[in-house]
Amino acid sequence: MESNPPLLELSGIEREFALGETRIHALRGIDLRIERGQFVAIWGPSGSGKSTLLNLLGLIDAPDRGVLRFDGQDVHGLSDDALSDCRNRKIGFVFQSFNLIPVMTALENVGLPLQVQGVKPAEVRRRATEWLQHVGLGQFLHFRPDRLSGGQRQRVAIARALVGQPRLLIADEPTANLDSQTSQEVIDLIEKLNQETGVTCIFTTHDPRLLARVPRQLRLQDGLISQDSYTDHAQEAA
Amino acid sequence: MMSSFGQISLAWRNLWRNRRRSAVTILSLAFGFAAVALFAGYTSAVYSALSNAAIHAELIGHLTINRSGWQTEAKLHPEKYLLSAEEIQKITGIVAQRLPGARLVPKLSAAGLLSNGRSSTIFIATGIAADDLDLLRGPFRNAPGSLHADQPQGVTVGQGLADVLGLKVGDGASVLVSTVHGQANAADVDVADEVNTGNVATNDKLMLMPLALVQNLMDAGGRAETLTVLLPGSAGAGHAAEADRMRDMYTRAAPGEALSSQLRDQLRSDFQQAGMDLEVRTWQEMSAFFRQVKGMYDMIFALMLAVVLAIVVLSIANAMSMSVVERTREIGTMRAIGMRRAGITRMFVSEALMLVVVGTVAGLLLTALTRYGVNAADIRYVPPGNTMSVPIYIGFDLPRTALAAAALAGLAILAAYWPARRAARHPIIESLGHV
Repeated sequence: MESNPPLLELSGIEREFALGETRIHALRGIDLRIERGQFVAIWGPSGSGKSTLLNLLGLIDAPDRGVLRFDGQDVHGLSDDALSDCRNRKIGFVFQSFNLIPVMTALENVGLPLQVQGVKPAEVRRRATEWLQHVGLGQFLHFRPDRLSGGQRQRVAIARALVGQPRLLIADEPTANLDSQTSQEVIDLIEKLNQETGVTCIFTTHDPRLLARVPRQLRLQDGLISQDSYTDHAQEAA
Repeated sequence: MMSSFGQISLAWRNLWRNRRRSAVTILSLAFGFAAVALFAGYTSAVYSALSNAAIHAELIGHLTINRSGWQTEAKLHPEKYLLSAEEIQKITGIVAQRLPGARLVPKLSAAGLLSNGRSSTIFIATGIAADDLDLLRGPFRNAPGSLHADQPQGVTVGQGLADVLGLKVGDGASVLVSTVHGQANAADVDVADEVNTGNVATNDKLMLMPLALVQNLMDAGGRAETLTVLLPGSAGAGHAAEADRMRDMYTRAAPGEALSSQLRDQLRSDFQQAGMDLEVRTWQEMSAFFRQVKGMYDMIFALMLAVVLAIVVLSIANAMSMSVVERTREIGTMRAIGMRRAGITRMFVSEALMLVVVGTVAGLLLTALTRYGVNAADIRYVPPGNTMSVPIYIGFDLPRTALAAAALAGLAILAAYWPARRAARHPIIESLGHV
């Protein structure tokens, strides 16, 4: 085993889905390494396998074939509880539709991963408050999601994803439901957090303006990585 | 894992989110639980009343001692089954040792003809000393039907029997019986009192006679066929007011089957060790009517509980299933951020338990209000086979009410567990994609 393995290492990953009697090959053999602290965008046309790949990287789905190593460990064969614990402690999710729990306040939503971990309530409150202040929502701690704008909800979702100090932030089209100004702000925020905390960030997008700002871009087509490119600055850093 | 407070708070908010559905479920739970609790309370009061009636009004007492074989053979050979004065004394000593404070009441029954001088009809009499009768009647001792120690020929006649012969208190009558040796014997008696036994089957036959008079008539001086044990502390207050007496009947618990059987077995063993061939029976064994009524009500209760449980559990299962479907995406989100399957299941089970707790508390309040209203209204009815109206009284049966609550909680957990388990095991990506 490598002394400092990549955060994610995929080799020969395949994933199929049944659609009626036909099989859809969403991923046809993906080989990929993602180092710690990288800021990666996955893009490509609809149906190219972006979300499927993201689901596998976030350990909420399992490949049919191939090996997926997370933090140096082959995740194949891990129990459901072990995968849950791994997601809880090491991965943060930001969803396209925010997926906040409607009966919880912003503070409670952000504190949820810590509550699941079993962190003491006072500590949960302290850390969730800190993160909400960090994403500029210190005034909205006790607001429920239905009283927040789309951009504010996505900030709550980002705070929730990062409150547990994960190693990986997964964001599935985090700006798809936001206007361009708010999209820019959200990506700025994710970029800033990537630089501040060193968390590895992977997100999918259709928006070419956002792509230009991301150091590493993976283009997917027909279930395969057709292009793995770095911006000059990012490549130097890598 | 979330803290208990966090889990309770979340469960409450999720129920509040669908408050109309939750309210309907809670109401069905409350009404169902109240129906079961009220019926349990009603039957419990009926059991108490029947047991007290058997022990004190039918004069069965708590335990009955006879010579072995008395129940089946005594009619053919009465003299063989009588207990002598020496035996009665010996039995009294054994009972006093085993059950300090208990009273032993000797009784001798007689059957024959009662005549007013013009016509006659059959009677069945219990011979018992006046003081013993007062003791045995306990809560009824101030009601009509007593014997008087200063009236050695005074008898109490069932109202139906008095009506048949046109007898009134103060009238004279004659009784004709067979002695234990099979010879006819007669005596004049005075009607000292009339009593409504409350039972169609006995009201036109029953007589209570002084024990000495029956012993003389039967030519069985100093002897008795039955010794009735009355446990200490069971005499009751002997209220004069009928309403208080009825309330006392409904609320005062008689010794249960387990205790009665235990005492019976101890006495049996004591008698065996003393070389006496005696039978001991509990009041439950002696009162066939109590057993039959209890058996019938127990069966109705079981049926009612099953129906209520089925309705309530289906209601909870429906509410939980709908909730699980509506929150599929939330379940996916929670799973994605690391909640284990068990955590999801626990969340829905907590909600179902909260429904049960709120519904049960509401049901208890409903029970208390209904119970108060019914008991205060003094609603009366004549039970089948009875000659007197009795008030409907609803007691509180803690064990069976607790059993119903526990059954509801257990089944609610199951009703929530299955849909929640299914949702928790659903692939996360499908849950997240659920619309």
